[in-house]
Amino acid sequence: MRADEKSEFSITPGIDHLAHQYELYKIPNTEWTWVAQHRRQTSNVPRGDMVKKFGLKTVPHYEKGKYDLALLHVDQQCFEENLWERGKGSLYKELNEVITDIPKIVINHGTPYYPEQFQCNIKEENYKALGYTKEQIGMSGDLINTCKKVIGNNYMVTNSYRAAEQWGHGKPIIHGQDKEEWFDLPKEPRVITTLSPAGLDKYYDRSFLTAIREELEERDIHFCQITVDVRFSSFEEYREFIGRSLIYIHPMKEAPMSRGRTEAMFSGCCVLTTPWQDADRFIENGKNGFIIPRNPRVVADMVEGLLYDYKKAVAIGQEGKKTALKEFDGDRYRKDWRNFMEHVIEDYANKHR
Amino acid sequence: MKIGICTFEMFHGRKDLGSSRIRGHWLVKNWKEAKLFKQGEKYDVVIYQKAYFIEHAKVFKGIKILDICDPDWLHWAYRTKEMIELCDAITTSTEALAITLRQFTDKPVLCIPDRVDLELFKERKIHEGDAKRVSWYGYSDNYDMIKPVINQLKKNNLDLLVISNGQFNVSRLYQDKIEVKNLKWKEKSVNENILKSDFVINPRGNNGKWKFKSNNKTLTSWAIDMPVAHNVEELKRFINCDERIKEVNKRRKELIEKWDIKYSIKQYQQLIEEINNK
Repeated sequence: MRADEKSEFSITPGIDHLAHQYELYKIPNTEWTWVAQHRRQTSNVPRGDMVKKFGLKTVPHYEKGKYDLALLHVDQQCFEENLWERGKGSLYKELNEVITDIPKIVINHGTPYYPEQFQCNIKEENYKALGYTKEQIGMSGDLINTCKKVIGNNYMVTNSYRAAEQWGHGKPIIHGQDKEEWFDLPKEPRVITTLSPAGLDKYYDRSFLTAIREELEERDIHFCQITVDVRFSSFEEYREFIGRSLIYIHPMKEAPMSRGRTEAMFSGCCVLTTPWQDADRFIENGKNGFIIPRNPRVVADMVEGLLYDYKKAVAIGQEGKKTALKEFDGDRYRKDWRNFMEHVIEDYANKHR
Repeated sequence: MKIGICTFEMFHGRKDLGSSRIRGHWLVKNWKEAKLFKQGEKYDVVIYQKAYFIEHAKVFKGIKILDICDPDWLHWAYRTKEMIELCDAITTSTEALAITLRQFTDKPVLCIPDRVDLELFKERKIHEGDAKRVSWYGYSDNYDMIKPVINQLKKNNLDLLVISNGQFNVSRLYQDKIEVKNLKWKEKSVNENILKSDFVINPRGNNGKWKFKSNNKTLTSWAIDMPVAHNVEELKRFINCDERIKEVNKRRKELIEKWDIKYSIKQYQQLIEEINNK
């Protein structure tokens, strides 16, 4: 496959990553086909009617010989026994069994951190003896090993460099979006975040989020959690809301490269983020955003300070936007993917010659 | 011909659901060409067992059968009409469901009643003496059906064994009058536990969903030689051991002649052939 050749790909909506797939559909000279599945519902709300926009085809089953590559999704939750048998993991499991004649790229959206279900047994004192690296301290050996086994000879992509280190393998591809899709509008002095109310409390560090909310509420500052406090009926409504928001807080612990934070940066919001999962690679504290400690009172002080120093918050938001334009450019992202897909197809062909 | 059965339980990520066991797993076990649906796999026929898999039905070109065992249309969230329009035929677990569904469509609507995989029911009740304890089993949502029977159990000196996913308690009036024992429903142990009683009670309602309900609990009880009382008259009759033995013999014959799962497979095969020939 060459970059100028048109290739057909099979894509399967493993987990709720419609926005992720929206960006993949834009890769030039590719045609994507969606395999009908019953594990996750599709929706036009996150990114509009993608079927119409990209001429996406849905097929009832996988057909051998028709595609160059398959794309599947997993995260650490998929490896939980129930979800593996009956939940979102079963989609990966079943399709991985059915698709056997082409290379498969698996986007692993998570990290080996799910203490509610898998003991995080890799510690400073035992990591070497257990055969792990320093980067894997605090993670679950069970998850790392299960993932390795489940991915097998497939090709794995992670959403951050840190996640690839934690899993011990995988090709990091940092997301990218198109600047013209985001609205930088006059800012309401409001504080927002985007975090689904479902699952993975420790991974998202939901208790930190709650503590920040409580601390802000004591000061009568109402912190808006998108998807909980407000829901939108269209992509337009969402972009308008985020584009008019002054401060965006990213309180999460493990989520690799949150898309919501990047969207906030593109929209000119002033971003306050935890340093984890590569955030400290592109946020310079006080210049294009703020790195926050895990201390709700300090975060609330910062938010309050910025609300009453509106111009400073706007200026830092603009710096963050410049960073987004440079680091998360859609063209770069599509090029990274295209290159990786070409590499995978070639590598697979060499191995199966 | 490759047939995929997409069960209600797999569609909703659940397990141990009665309708999927009876109308999915038991069919697959006895029907060589049928398999449980696997995403991405190619089929000639798909049976959507209470699975409103619109996304698939819209693009699948093979034979599509929607199998309905509950009046799903009573809940606004179900897309019954839309799914019917996408399918070639509809099968139902009761004639009452079929009669109603025929109003919604001109497509073939065929009642394929719940039947039994007789091979799975190895346990047998040995009946001795007057009955002392009756059993009821099923989902706790249906406890309302047992409540009116309690008075009759008291009058006839019968204790009650409830095998369910919840805890059944009698009202204070009866607490010292009859003994109620609760056991957890599990596929592995349910038959063994039913045998701890002398016969099964299966009172049924006439309103709402009840008129559409199948007789599957009665059939599975018969399969382990347990008589089933549906009303007070039967309840009184089955206290007598000879009556129970007489009932068991009658129902064994009926099960073999009418309720073996292989008859359901034949009905499906015939239906598929008819659709194919159209």
